Amino acid sequence: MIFKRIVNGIEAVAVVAALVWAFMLFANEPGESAAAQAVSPGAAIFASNCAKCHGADGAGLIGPQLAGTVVEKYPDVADQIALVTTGRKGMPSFNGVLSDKQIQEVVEYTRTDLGG
Amino acid sequence: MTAPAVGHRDTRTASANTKVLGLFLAGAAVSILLGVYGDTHTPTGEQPYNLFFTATIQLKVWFAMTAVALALLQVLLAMRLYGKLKWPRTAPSWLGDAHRLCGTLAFLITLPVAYQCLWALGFQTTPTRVLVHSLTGCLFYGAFVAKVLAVRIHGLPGWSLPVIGGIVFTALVVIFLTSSVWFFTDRPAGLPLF
Repeated sequence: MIFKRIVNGIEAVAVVAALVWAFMLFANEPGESAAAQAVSPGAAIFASNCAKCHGADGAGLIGPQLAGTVVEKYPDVADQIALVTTGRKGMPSFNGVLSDKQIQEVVEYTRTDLGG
Repeated sequence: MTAPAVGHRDTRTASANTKVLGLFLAGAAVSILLGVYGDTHTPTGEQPYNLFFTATIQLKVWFAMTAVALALLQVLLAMRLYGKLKWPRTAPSWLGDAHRLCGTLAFLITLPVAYQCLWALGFQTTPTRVLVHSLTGCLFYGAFVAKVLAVRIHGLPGWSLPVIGGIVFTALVVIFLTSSVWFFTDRPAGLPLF
């Protein structure tokens, strides 16, 4: 009997949690999209293509951190451009998705505006 | 003498079918709503929480593992409830409540995972793994709502609860395969497990 009451209580908590969850999805809508706020082309490309894996500020999400690390990891910018173009394990290729110019712009963005 | 009985049976069947259709529509509405939200919402790319894990992705992976484990236990309890498993020989009286508890806890633990998926990443269509993950994520919550309603509605066909429960479990397993398993086997180099 006590166990049933505990389970009923936890179910009630779950219902409340689900309602709060749904509320927060809609209540936490960001303002203007990051892509719209971006100043440079590289920033806009990053916001639209890279942020979902590497984080809005390059701090890392599914993909590794980029902010403050890429210059050290890829002293030769051509290596970073090649990586974005061809992809690797866990990262898709952007060849055909972004133009060569766009890839250069977004790589430049990660090496300068994100702190290299 | 049999005509009224047959007519009554037809009415009950029609009523049960209507209820099943209602469940389907309720579940579909939830699934579609989540899909539309994920597709129209601007992903934030943020990590809202990570507790004691390295990052949100690790939290999600291990929370998903826990949810699947709880769901598996729930399925085993359901199999005993329906007599498909014979152990324990005498089903304890708390078996049904334990089944409910496992499902509720599994659902609760998916909420922070799904929140970050929808809010920070959104509904994505590439690559195929992510598309499947996005679709089954929406399907899971729709099927879950249908399951919760089905438990409380009388007069449903006997097959409805196991089928809906099976859909919920299958969706969760597919979500797990397209996320946590991917993380364990194919995550970017250097990303820690915890």
